[in-house]
Amino acid sequence: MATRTITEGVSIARRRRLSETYIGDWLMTTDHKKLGIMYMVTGFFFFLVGGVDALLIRTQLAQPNGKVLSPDVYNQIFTMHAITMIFLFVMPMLTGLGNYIVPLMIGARDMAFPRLNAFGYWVVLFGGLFLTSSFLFGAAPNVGWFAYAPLTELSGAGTTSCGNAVLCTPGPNMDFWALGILMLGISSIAGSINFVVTILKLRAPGMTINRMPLFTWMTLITAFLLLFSLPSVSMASILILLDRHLGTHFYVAGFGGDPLLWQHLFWSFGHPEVYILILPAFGIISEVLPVFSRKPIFGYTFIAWSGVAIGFLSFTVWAHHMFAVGLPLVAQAFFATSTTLIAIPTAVKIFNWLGTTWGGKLSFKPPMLFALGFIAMFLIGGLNGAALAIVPFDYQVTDTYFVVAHLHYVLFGGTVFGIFAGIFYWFPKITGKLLNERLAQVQFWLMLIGVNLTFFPMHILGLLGMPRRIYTYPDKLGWNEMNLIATIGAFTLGVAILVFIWNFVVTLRSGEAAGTDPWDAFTLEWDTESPPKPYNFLEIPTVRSRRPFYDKKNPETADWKSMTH
Amino acid sequence: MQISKNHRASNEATEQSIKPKQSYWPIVLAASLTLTLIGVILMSHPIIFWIGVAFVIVSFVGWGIERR
Repeated sequence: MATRTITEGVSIARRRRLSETYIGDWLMTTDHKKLGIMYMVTGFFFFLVGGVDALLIRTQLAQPNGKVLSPDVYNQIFTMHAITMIFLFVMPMLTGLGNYIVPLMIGARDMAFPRLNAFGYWVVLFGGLFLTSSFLFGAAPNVGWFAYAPLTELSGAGTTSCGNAVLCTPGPNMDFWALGILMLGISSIAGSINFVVTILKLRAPGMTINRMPLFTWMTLITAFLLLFSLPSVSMASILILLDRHLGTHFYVAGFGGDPLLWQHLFWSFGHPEVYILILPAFGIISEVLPVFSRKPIFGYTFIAWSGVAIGFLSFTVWAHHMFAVGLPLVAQAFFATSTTLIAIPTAVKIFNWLGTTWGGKLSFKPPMLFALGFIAMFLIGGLNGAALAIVPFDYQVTDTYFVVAHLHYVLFGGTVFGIFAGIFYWFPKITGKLLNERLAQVQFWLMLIGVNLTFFPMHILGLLGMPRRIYTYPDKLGWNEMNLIATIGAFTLGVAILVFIWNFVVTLRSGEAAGTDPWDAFTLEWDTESPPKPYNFLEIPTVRSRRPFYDKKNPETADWKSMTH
Repeated sequence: MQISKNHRASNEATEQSIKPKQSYWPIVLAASLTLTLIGVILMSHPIIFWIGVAFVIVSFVGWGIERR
């Protein structure tokens, strides 16, 4: 008895280790689920930051001769809007969803390299703060997200200063860009290696490549795309830093360098990057549609391998961003053809998604609404992208708002709708609660109206010749009304996001309990508690078909009894 | 009863053994890397850069020798 009293006394006196505190637990965690949540929360925070940037841009452009921002601040805002949305919102958000869901989907207990996973997250957070802190120095990147050299050189060609028609970037703005992109690249490489090894080596027994869920497929392809495309932009960043600080002239024509080298290096990363941003969303849609159509996915093999085809082709199209630089005719023909070709596997996916819904018992729950919205909006973005593959048309609209319309239909109408489909679908898994359906519908319709109000007029503005990135524009060019409509649309999107935040907060405080399987789903992540235990599965499941959880719930009609895949 | 107790103990042991282990080296290495890059931006104070580099090396070593 005396011994026991002493033992208790000692344990009370002992100070808790950092890892035993609530905050310490999150700081030191290597659990893929916690890291997934951290990625998503960080991504959403930067979504709000990038969204405020967007609203500032649209406020500046709402009327002719706008003076809401100064020209230099405007340059910083539109550059940071793009960098934030691409590198600090979409990529972390999709990585977060992948981190949380992929190991559960394939029946693994964690990612292959948990510490590397944690490192990847912290680099994203610190890299994001590093980039955003540039505003505090008044030196945020101001050169557009693709930062063309030699405008990004420290001084003009053959001179020691800028000015007098010599365009360059004397402040640290470009250094923030290059170092920030290097940091985020390190994170992406760490994450990609982890995804590749996890998916190839840690799948549950029986889960062959051809039984993997399509979200896992697309995450795997995305990871390979990152591994093969990041080295070129990393090298481009290192070369520009060498030019700026160590006196080399890789991009300065006057010293034997080549400004187009930057464009080739950047876009051989930049175009695969577009698919890096959209392929995981394809995966999300391919998970959501079958569940809410109560059918297996139509054309699984075609969807999976068209993703692979898109991955390969994405490395052959980069110079379609450079038609206007005066490429040789044969190069123009090649890149126009390859760009048109990539539309084929993309169309295959859309055909298969529509085939999945055909004849299904459709249920228009929030994930399904966003998935259908994704298909419609992405189709517009894909079609106007195919138009841009036509060289003479591209000459006419290059660097105009038509291009801005195209990329936003793909990245907002496509990726962001896909992300929200994923959030509404997996939120019950992550939190154990169901987001409010009515508020989700309000958000969906506001987003659908907002995205079209904002970005459709930009097609017309582009055809009318409004260049992208201009600070302001004079009256009587016929651009006023379209710009005002786009600004109203942007604020509509802002309201939609506020509705989501309200829904999120209310649900976390007093949301309806979801149970473990609220959607009657098909894949393994739902065969765990919601939220799952730290170790995911005490006993690793055995897989016999593409819908293992469906098989478990319906042994009489299990897929493996009738299908041979 | 004895069997049930043993079964529970065995499950708990398994849970403990497969729980992800915590580590502070990932956040330390990421912070060190950030400090190094801030040092590159503030080259007028190169000490920041070198402190960052030192921390990066320490983090690599610490990560490498951490018992898992």
